Order: sequence, then C-alpha cells, then structure tokens
Amino acid sequence: MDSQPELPIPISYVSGRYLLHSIEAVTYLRREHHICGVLIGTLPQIPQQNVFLGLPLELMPEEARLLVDKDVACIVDEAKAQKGMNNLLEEDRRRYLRELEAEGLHYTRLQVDLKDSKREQTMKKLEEKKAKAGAKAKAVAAAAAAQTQTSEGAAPKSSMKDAAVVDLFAPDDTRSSSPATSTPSQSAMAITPATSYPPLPTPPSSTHLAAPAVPPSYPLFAHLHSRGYFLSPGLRFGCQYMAYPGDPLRFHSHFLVVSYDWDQNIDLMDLIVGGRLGTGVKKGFLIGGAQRTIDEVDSEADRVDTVRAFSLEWAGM
Amino acid sequence: MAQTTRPNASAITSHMSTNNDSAPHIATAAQVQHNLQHQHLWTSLTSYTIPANTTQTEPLNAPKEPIPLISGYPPHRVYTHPDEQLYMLENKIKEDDLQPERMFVVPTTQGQSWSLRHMAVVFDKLPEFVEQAREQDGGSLGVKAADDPEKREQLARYYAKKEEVSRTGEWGSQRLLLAMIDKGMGGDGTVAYYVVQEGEVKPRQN
Amino acid sequence: MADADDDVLKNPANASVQPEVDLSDETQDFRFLNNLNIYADSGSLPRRGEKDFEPNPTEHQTGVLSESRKAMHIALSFPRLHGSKSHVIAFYAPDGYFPLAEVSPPKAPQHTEKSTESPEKPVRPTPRSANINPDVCVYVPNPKGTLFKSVGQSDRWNRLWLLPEEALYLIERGSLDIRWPSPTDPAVTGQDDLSIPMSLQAAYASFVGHGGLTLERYSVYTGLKRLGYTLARAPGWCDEAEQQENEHETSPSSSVHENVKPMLRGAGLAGILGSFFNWLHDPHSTASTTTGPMIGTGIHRHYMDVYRKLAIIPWYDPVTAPPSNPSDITAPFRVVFHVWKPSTPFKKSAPPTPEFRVAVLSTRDQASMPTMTQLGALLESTPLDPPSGEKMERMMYMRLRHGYRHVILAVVDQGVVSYLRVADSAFGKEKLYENQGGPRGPKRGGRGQQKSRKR
Repeated sequence: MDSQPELPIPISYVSGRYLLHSIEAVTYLRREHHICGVLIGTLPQIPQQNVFLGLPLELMPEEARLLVDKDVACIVDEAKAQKGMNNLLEEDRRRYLRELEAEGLHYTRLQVDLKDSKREQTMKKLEEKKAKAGAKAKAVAAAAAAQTQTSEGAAPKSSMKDAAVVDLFAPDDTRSSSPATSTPSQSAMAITPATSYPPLPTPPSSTHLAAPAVPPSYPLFAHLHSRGYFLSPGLRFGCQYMAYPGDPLRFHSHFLVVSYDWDQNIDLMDLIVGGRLGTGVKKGFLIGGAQRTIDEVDSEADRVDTVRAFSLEWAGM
Repeated sequence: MAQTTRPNASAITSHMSTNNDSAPHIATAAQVQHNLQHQHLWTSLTSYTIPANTTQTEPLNAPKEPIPLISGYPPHRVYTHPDEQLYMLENKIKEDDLQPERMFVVPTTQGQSWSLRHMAVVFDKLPEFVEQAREQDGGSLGVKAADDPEKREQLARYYAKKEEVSRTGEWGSQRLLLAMIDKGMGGDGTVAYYVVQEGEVKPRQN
Repeated sequence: MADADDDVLKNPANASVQPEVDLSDETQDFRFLNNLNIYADSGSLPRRGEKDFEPNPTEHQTGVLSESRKAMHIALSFPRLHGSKSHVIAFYAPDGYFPLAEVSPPKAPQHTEKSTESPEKPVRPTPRSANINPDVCVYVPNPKGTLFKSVGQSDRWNRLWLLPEEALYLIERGSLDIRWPSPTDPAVTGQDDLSIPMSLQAAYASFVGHGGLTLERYSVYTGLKRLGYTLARAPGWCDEAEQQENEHETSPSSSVHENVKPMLRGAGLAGILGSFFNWLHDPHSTASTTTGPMIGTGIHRHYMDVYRKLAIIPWYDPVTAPPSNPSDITAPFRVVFHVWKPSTPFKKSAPPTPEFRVAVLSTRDQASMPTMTQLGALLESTPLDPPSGEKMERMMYMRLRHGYRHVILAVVDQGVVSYLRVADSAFGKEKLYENQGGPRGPKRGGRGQQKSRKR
C-alpha cells in the first residue's frame, strides 16, 4: 500500500476524459500528490448503491495536467494501446492465462477456507445453543451464565469472520508466484482483471500524448494545490472547485472556489450568491485568478506564481 | 381638491444631495456611509478615494475608475478569525475587553464594474489608509483600562500575540468589508456586507 | 438586513426546510464500508462518517486518515471473480453484430485488427440483423440469469447482444466475463481456448466513445442502474435521429382540452404578441375597454366576473401550443435516456411509457445555463403529460410542480452527477379566483420553470 508505482504513471485518455485504473497509482497519487479525482465505477462487492464507488478514477484535465507537468504521469491513448491485444504472441497469451488461473485458484482456496470457517462457526453456535438449552433445563442461574458465554463468544467470532473477509480483499503479493498445486477438485475462479498491464507492455514514451488542455481556471487550481489544498469538482455547490484543507476522506471542505480572469467583469451579485451560499454551509467563498495572461509568460506554471485570491464570508450585518 | 405638494426628500436623498459631487462612486459611498452610520451605528466615519489610473498595462495598476473607501468603528466586532476566537476563549478574553478596531469598507453598487484588479488594488492601497487613519485617531481611544492586574497582563499578552500574527497571517491577513447596494428595480435601500480577506482564510464555524 | 432569513442562515439547523442529506454528496470514509459484512445480502448502508474541520498535528488524526486510506485501498482492490455457478461469458465483437454460421465471426487477429482500424463499418445486410442496434459490441452466447431481464437484444441463435453501456455496466459490477476475440476457434481447431479476459480498463477504452457513448452518458446510466432504475436509449441518442420521437410521441389528442379556453392560439412569443394585437382590435370582447373602464360599466354581482374581465394578459398554454420544429432540439439538450422506476414491471419486447426522460449535459462542454429556446425545445420534444389523478386535482401546487411536460437534466461535472427536473407549468390555467377559499396544498412550490431536485 505504501509502495511507489513506476513513474511516470500512465493516465488513460479515453474519449476526451482522463482515467486511472490501477489501485496502486490511485493510492499513491492521493497520498503523495494530493490528487483525488472522482471515483466513478461500481464496486463489485456492493454494486447496488452510489455512496461508495470504485475504480476507475476520473481525473479533471487540471489534475492530469498538474501531474504531467510534474513528470509524475503521462497521457496514453488507451483505445489505441488496447489494440495491442490483437498482436499478442501465442506464447504470451498462454503465460498470461496461466497466471490468471493461478490467481483464480488462490481465490477459490480462500473462498473454500472462508466457507469452512463459516461452517465451523455455525456448528459451534449450534453446540452453544444446545449447551444453553441444556443449562436452561438444569437451572435458571446457570442459564444466565450461559448467556454471558454466548455473547462473549459472539465477539471473537465476528472479528474472525472480518479478518477472513479482509484477507480476501487484501492484495496478496504471493498470489502471482503461488504455483498451481491445488487439489484437482477445485477449479480456478475466472477473473476480470482491473488493468491490461500485463499482458500489455508499458506504453513507450514515444506514444505519450501531449499535456492536457486546461480551462482558464487552471492557475488558481494549481495555486491552491501548491498551498496544500485538495481540490474536487464543484458542481454540487455551483462553483468550479471545492477546496479541502486535507484529504476529503477525513475533512470537510473550506472553500467554494471560482476563478476569474484578471480584468474579467465580476457581477457583484455573483459574489453575494457565492458568499451567502458558502456561509450557509460553513464554507468560505474564494475567488482568484492569475495577473498574467498566457501570452505574457512562458508557461502555465509561470502564471501560477502570479495568482491572487480573496476569501469572502457574509459579514452578518 | 387639496393642493398636491411634493413630499420632503427622504433623509438618504438629502444626505446624498448635500455631497455636491455627481460622480456615481461618490453617491454610492454616501449611501453606504449613511447606512453604516444610521442602521449599523458606526462612528468616526471617514471616506477616502483611490484615484483612477488611465494606463492599465500593468496588472497592479489601478482601474480606470476611482474607487471610494470608507472607514469607521463598528459598535461590535464584525469579524473574528476562528483561531483568534479560540485564543480568546482559552484565555478568557471577552470582546468587550478589547479596544475597538477601525474597519474599512468598499462601497459598491449592483451593476458597476468590478474585477480582481479592483480587489487587488484596494488591498494594496489599504495599508496607506490604515496608517492615515491611525494618525488621525492619534491613539485617543487608547487601551481600555483594566482594573484587574491579571486581566491587564492577559490583554497585554493578547496584543503581543496579535502583533505577532499580523506578520504571519495566522489570524487572517488584511480584511475589509465589501458593501453592495441593491439597485434592482430602483433599489430598496438594502446594503449587503461581506467580509473579504486576502488569500485563503479558513471560514468561521459558527 | 436583519430579517428572518438571517436567522435561518445563522442557524441552519433551526430552518424549517432541512436540506436532504444525500450520502453520495460527499466523499465517504471507506472505513465504514469495511465495517459492513459484504457477504451479507442486507442492503443497509453505513452511517455517515464524522469528519474534522482541519488537519492538526495529532497522531490520532494521522492514524485515522491512514486507516481510512487503507480501507479505501482494500475496498478498491476487491477482485472481480466469477464463480462457476454465476459465470457468464461474453465476447467482444469490435465490428458489431454478425450472423452466426453464414459468416464466421471475426476471429482471426489480422481480420480484427484491420476492421477495427478502418473507420467505415462493415456492411450488415442480413435482414435478421435489421432489428439489432448497430452500436452493439458484445454478445453473450449463453445468456442466463436475471441480469439480462432489461438489457440486450437476442438474435436468431439465442445470442444476446449488448450495447457498450450495458456491457460496461455488467463487466464493472463483476457480472460478466467478457473475452477478447480468440485467435483460434477451439471448436474448429480443437486447440485450447486462448481467449483472454478483457480487463475493466480495456472495457472502458473499447466501449466509451463507441456508438455515441460518452463518459458522461455512462456515468448517468450506471448511476441510475446501481439504484435499480431501468434505462433504455431514447431516439435522441444519435445526432441524426431526431424526427422519430416526435412522430411517435408528441401530438397528443386534442381531447385533452378542458373547458378553460385559452386566449391564445398562436405559438410562443409571436403568438402572444399576435393575440395581444387581436385583443386591441377585437371590437367584441373588449369593446368597452377602449372607451370605458376595463371591467365595463354594467352591474357585477360576483367578483368572478370582474376577475375574468381583468384577465387581459395573454398566457402560454402548453396543451394548445403547436409542436415545435424538431430541428430546434440541439445537442446536448435532447433526451438520451428513457428511465423507469425500479418498481415498474419492464418487458424488453414492449417497454412501457417512460417515466422519466433524461438529457445529459457535461459542465466542461456546456458551462452556461440553457437558454429558454433550448429548454423550451427540449420540453416540447417530450410528450404531453398533464397532471392527473385525484391528488393532483385537489392540490394546485402539485399540479404546478408536475407541469404539462417534464424532463430531467443530468448535469455531469467530471464524474459528479446532479439531477434537475424541469417542468412546463401552466400558471394561466390555474384560476385562483375560481378556487373557493383560495389555493390549497403545501405552501411551497411553483415557479415558472420550476426546478426541483429529483429524489
């Protein structure tokens, strides 16, 4: 989990959008570069809800650009890269299928173990119940004691189950190397892999696409990011970005962010709307922008240094 | 039939017409000043003007139109930074113990031009006006005399801390009030006030 | 400025209208997900996690954050496994539908490569294939289970063909094992099956962008599917096919007309102006107003007569307004999905009347509010659905909220979706003066083009 993936991390460019499919990359970028993106995929373990979502992670063009400018990531035309599937050698195909089978067997065994321990628990529970019933018949006082025993027994049981579940989810580093030496009665579970690398080789740097085009709000985005803020899309509050003082997993956002060009006319009503909305949800309304236009400087990065920002809150008077 | 007579001009209209300048920014300033004085009971109101600049080549040059500015003492504190509030709470300092602070206000009106440049220029010029106002006040308000020596020491520590954080920006940086007059459908005299601070200043939580 | 509103602002908790708490509105703490026993089939969701205001240097906070991230990492690493009982295999068909036997499926790698790279689609002359959507790209040779109740199209050989969004949704939720086309046909050569399972990454790369599927449309599709809704593509999906829906669905019978006779017969603004001029020149109905008091000089025994005479401002009636020109419906303001509630019985062969019509907008392509023309054209592309039912008849504000036509705008900002319902309300039809004792119903509601959050 604390591993560092090989850099630059390839970002899939699919139909004009930027996606990440590798959990290692997602965890790493969040931890080291404060890039969170938005999870848009269905979690296979709990698919009928929208509260917790899974991979892929959609990145804003701003996020992708920031990472590319830092040489942390590169952009790959994913549809094109996937065409490489048709050119795999038979030998590579066989090897990859063998690897998948080994991994599938690993999961089959885990599931069998899980079933076994579940069955064991059920048996234990039944026995406890029997014991309880017997105790009840003997004496009322003894029944009370049995009660405590059962509840004590319940706690470790559930935690044991949790441990088994967690074990199943945890990426197991040994699984790919584990030889397929299972009993023949167990058939390997089929797997839909999360990514295509392997079997595809890492796309060579000559195939990387140019850095993503970004909207005029990019300097303010990069400025806030450089100040340690975590940024996410602002649709829910009708602004451009939400700025969080720490990882949005654990912190509420501080600002509703809207960017303006330096001489762009600001409708004062918009300041009231943003300021009032922000105050209502205990957030500040932050406006800002770069003093220099892109024509006046060499790169977007130079504009970031000229950003000025202002925080607004309702005065309460 | 009774003879129709024109009603007397309202207080605000006569106030605005006594300021003999017809420039719109002066009228706006006059209306906001009137509102501060009579609705919000501010005292020692003073007005200023940031002059216009005709060349606009540099990002930090003033905009084409002059920007008015007002300062005064509100009856109660308008804004306390969350960390300052925490400090006050921990050190049992009440707002009443503290000397009032002069607050600056930028009067604006709906539909006027406004931009980041306007905002930045106001903040850049603000220290000059703060200094000017300090000389004008001449320390006449002074530190409120605290009878209790313990309290006196506490307040001294507070002011020392305040001096320190004014350099670090820990309790927020420069701030002012943006006053906005509603002119929609002729306007109803409502003035909305927003606290504006330079940079990213975390929101208050109450 | 000190008014009642400010109290609401200062103490949002005391506000009478509490905003709905939508858990999906915020990034959730994944630690609460792992508290769930995911093997239990109870669909209960975790509690909302407590968050902090700002980072502080305590070890506790660092510990909790690293726990949260670990939980997230584990949850997102969950593999997509196919047990033998629920294993459904499908095949990717990059060139779309092909009949069985007559033409052998595109299996040779050279073939596939060539045709996927060439922009023109292969000809599909088989009459049987006419019913199969040309955008299908995955087929299930042996469809089983309840998964396919509302998705896919069957062909003569009992293969189920899936549209890109259907295939992507199913592979993503771990229900479908999609294979790349095999280089060798095991049935023919007797060799091992060397078809490689498609990764989720490959599925996104292959299906998004195929057949008009944008990532925004997919986000809306999958978001509603996860909640149990049934979705089908609407005719507005393709840029070219606009006319069909209009022929098909608008022009309701004029019997919907009530005895309330709208004053206006024309359409839109021109119609309003036209009838305004008619009113000015009409010697009969308003003869008195040009010379005398607007309500006439006779004796009025009832206020109703007076109000009726005062109702001189023409108004728009969604029932009698003539159908708009379909070419006014411009992308992205067109209905792309028909949606049915989870409780509605759905038959693929005969889908019921859609309960919701959804247009999908991306904030990165459409940054401004739609114009009245765009919104009007979008609404007019939906069929007339006047408020009906006992409750609606009783409650005026419910009628206004419901409107005569309605559409849902799904606004997508980089993966974050918000739904807005836009309805065409007919305020002119509500004669307040005819209501005994004034309007009834909850004291909130209608604005002209009312937008309310869909639940």
